Amino acid sequence: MSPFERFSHAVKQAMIILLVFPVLAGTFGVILPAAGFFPALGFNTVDTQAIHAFFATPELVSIIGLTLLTGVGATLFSLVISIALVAVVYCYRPFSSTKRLLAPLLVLPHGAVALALIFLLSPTPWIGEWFPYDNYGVSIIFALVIKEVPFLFFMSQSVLAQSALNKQLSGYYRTGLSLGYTPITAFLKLVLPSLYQRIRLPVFAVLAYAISCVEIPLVLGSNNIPTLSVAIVHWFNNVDLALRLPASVGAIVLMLLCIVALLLWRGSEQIIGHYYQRFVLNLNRAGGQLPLLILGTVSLIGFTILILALVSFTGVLSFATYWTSGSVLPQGITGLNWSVGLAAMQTPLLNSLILALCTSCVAVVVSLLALESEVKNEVTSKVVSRLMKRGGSSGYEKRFTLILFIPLLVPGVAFLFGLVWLQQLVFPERLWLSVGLSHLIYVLPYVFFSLAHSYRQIDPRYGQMAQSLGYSPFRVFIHVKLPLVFPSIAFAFAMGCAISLSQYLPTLLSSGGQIATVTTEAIALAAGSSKRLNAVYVIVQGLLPLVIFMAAWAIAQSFYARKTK
Amino acid sequence: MALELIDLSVTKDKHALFNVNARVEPGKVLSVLGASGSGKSTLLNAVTGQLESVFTVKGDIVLNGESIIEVPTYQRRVGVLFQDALLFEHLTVGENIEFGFRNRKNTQQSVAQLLGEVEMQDMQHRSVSSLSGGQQARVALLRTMASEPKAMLLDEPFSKLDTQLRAKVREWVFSTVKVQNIPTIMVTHDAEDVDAANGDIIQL
Repeated sequence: MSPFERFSHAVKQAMIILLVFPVLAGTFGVILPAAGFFPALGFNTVDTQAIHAFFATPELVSIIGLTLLTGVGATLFSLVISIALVAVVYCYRPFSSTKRLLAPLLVLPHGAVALALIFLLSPTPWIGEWFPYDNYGVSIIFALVIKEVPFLFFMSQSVLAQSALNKQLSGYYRTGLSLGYTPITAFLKLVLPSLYQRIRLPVFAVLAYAISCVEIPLVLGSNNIPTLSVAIVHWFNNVDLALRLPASVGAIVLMLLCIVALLLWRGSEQIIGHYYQRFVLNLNRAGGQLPLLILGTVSLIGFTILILALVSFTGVLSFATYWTSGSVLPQGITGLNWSVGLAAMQTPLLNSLILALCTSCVAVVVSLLALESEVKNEVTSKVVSRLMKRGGSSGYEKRFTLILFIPLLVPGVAFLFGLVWLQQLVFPERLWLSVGLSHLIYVLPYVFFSLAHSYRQIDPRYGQMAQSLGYSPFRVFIHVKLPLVFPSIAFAFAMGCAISLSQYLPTLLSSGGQIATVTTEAIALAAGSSKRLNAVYVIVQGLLPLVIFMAAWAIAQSFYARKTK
Repeated sequence: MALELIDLSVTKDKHALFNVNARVEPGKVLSVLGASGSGKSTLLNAVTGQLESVFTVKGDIVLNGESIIEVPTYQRRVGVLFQDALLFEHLTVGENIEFGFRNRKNTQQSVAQLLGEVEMQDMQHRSVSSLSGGQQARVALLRTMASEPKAMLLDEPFSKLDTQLRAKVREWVFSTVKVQNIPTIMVTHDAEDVDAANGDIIQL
């Protein structure tokens, strides 16, 4: 084994540790305070006081109920709508341009969506009475659905783009049509069962995120009953430091809620799966065709209108002098909001870009080396070649995918506080390193997934041929493999930047509020008085990932253009 | 119940791929031969109504006296057997066949009976991945026949079977379409397939 091969193996092991250790350590970091042990605050004995204090929280049942309702509700709606969209795009070619329409929503930070919704809906008195800030979480579910539908849609598209699986499923679909099933019915009965198995982990990640998300309920949630994650953040950030103990109990309860919700979801899958099998075999040639066609079409139109409305309204608001509630247009137009906003934003903007570019660079390098180590791992390469042939998942693949999903499945609120505590203990002065590591935990899985498919598709004979010409494994990696996947690298880098730019809680907690980014500032301003200034932040927050994606696309295009000259 | 291709032509980028006139009588097999890229699979896709939007189709396809060229794929009642059996892995052997039926009347009994006819009576509840290539081909045909097709298309259905099995499955498929009086179009590269079909031949 060459030094490079050993190095790539070591990087893969480090990647696994990087994904698992902070989550475990962070979780451990909240268990001790939850048990009443927090020497820094003078709590030196283990007792149940924190637990009693947590369970004495007024309206706790409503808080937990709202958390579960918004989490499960948002996941359910997102899944159904994304299935309808995937079905119409799969079955009807004219709908395939939808992919471009939903792409901007995918990279838009959650906080930006929530804030843009506030701008859009607040001035409308008849909606404003119950939406946003409603006690039933309708607005939270709505905002989560807007963000999670594109995520599930694109995860499905990437699954369906896998050549071996695509060939198998399109064969199923064509067979279904030739047996007399209508297009969407054939999709539901023959394509969806295989597809759902492969998007199960992303669905679980959506469920865990929807239950533990902070930004959206913080901005859109009720002032009377918060979700549990928002309540925990309030307790942790309270001037009364003793509240950190019940907050730690809350973090563990939130994690348990996630586990319960995931188990319930899994149980429901079994029950629904039983009835779904009946649906598959009920011989109804048009079952589900009309409802899903309508839902898919309506969702598509709805998303189009919503995107246009959010963009145009936030844009106009950022230039407004004064906009009274109920008026169709503002009283006047000014550039003042932008000049004030941009002047104040310089440092947060720079911080955001430094964090995004650095973490994405590290994530791309680590992911590429981890993928390269798979090729050299005999067992893994056998697994990969089997996957390429069958389009299925092996035990190894499932385990590694699960590790990649760990940071997405464990609520950030639950482990980030513990992680920060540990970071302060280990490297108290390294603020940027702490924040960078917190971002990397979330950036790495997305970058790896963005790269994995194309890297694993590289024909191994390229490497064999290059080595036979005298190239070392490292030179094959640099001169042969990286150029082959260059467009994917550009896309993965942009994806990493988008994920880093959207991070609110990891930035806030790891830096203790000392490193401001556009996202943390935008959320902080939501509580302030000027929505117009806030709109400037939201636009910049939305534009940053879009600009990076466009740059990545342009670089990938120019790379191809240069190669084909 | 004949299948007619009347002046059927397919063009791509203003370039005509082929122009076909043919009539397939009930129970007969029309063999379509041609080099790779000559448009054999495109012809089958035109008959099933699954041509990609880059192709333009002209002429008419008449099945049982009625034009089906404007009819959606799923209403044409044209069964297809592909190179691969394409058995659905989330369904058992029996359920794969059941999926093809048009009504629920006695489906279980019918599935058992159909499997019995091909000496696979014990395999109704087995996973499709446990079947051999020949067994998979038989289940694929049973599934297609269960949907009561009015015409059948064979897209090199025997090309992946070994020589011995190929002759057996081929004979069984041809005798089935003959007994059921189904007009059939077969795309193939194999001269033995053409000889066994014993029908008209088109060279694209």
